[in-house]
Amino acid sequence: MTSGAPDPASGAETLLVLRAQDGDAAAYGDLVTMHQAAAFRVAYLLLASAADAEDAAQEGFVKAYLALGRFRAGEPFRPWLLQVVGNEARNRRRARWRREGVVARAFEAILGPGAPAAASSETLVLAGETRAEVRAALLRLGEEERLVVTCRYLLDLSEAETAAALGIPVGTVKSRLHRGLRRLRADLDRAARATEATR
Amino acid sequence: MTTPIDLGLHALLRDAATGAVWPATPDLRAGVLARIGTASPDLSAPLAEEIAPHRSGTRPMVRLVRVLALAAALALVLAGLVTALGYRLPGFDLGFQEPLPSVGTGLDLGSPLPVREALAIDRPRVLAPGDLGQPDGAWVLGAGAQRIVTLAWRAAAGQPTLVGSDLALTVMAVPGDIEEPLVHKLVGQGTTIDPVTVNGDRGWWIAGAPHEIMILRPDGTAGVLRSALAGDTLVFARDGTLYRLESALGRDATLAIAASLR
Repeated sequence: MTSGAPDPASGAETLLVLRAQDGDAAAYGDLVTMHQAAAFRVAYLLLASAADAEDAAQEGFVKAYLALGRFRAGEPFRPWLLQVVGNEARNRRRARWRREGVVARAFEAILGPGAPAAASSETLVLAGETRAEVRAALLRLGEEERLVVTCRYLLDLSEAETAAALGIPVGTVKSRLHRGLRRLRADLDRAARATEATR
Repeated sequence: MTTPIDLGLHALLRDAATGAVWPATPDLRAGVLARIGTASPDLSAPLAEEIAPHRSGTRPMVRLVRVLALAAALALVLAGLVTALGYRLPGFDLGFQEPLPSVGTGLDLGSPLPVREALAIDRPRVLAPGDLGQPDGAWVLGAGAQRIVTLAWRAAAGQPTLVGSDLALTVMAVPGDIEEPLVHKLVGQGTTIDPVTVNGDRGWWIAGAPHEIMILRPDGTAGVLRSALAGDTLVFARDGTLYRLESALGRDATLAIAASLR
């Protein structure tokens, strides 16, 4: 997983940014290709709809391009982009009055129904049970903590990128992550003890 | 038996990430390039995150917000330092910036409302000085538990006024028991910050060169909703509420007014 500090921009990325700032659309196209997966997934996490996420991500890329003249080349591009896309997604979510449960729905879709228990060996059964317990524990987290944990672990974003995508300070990311992981640990511990008791 | 805890929480989450099934990422390149066409990046283009949602700004306001959003980011970065220095109250952060951006003056205080309604709001509860009589105006910014309530008094004949207004004093109540401070201030060289107490509640008198005040969006997201250069200001916290008195009346008079708030 990436560290909490923003990753330095690569030389290739910086070059693409500089060319795009000069109006080279193809260079910006390469930046889109590089970062579209992260942008789309952040938007999906916030909107729980692939179509809406695609619209929000595309709009974010367009807005980022139009404002690219003010971006300082050499800085990592992805946190800045994710801030624009995350804000676009949040605005759309707010506009549609459907905040409640959106993250949970997106999360359920991402993790699916959980691993089947009918595996052929005890090891696979245990692995499946564990995965299902992790999924259930993640779904029991509050939305704010689940969003941060998901960005950090399922999207592999840095703390700075998570903060940018969710529109919250890095300190808030740290505190929510700490709380979320502590609750997950306690929840999984309880589940493990309960499982042990029934065997 | 190997328990989930034995496996390690981080390993379990990494495993969950491996098993996650995201919708296929669409190819956005062609669509984005078609939309940007032959446009070039624009140095004056505002970013979405720098404009408060559901509000349209005039062009000067957009420029103002754009400049101050950058300052807001700096304020957030400085939050740790500010905390370490002790310049923090519930709902309030103080940061340093050099030089201050050259921006306009005057604080947009939100929507006006009848004074009696403002005084009846329970959270945050805005207090009125005992000696000044009824406020001449009241405003509310935001909604629900994160709204900011402000009372204002016009300057009497011969009294100094706050820059850009006919007011001598504003008293702002900001909920301080929320997770993220709603008010950020940036001060630069020429601004002095003196620790003070108001009936035992700690605070600061911020005076000298005009300093910047930014009020973050009430939904708690980072961004600038309102910004302005502020004059001499007293801030202090009481019972979970941040009180901010912007005053043209000087330190002693303002502290006396603050002591009479009830």
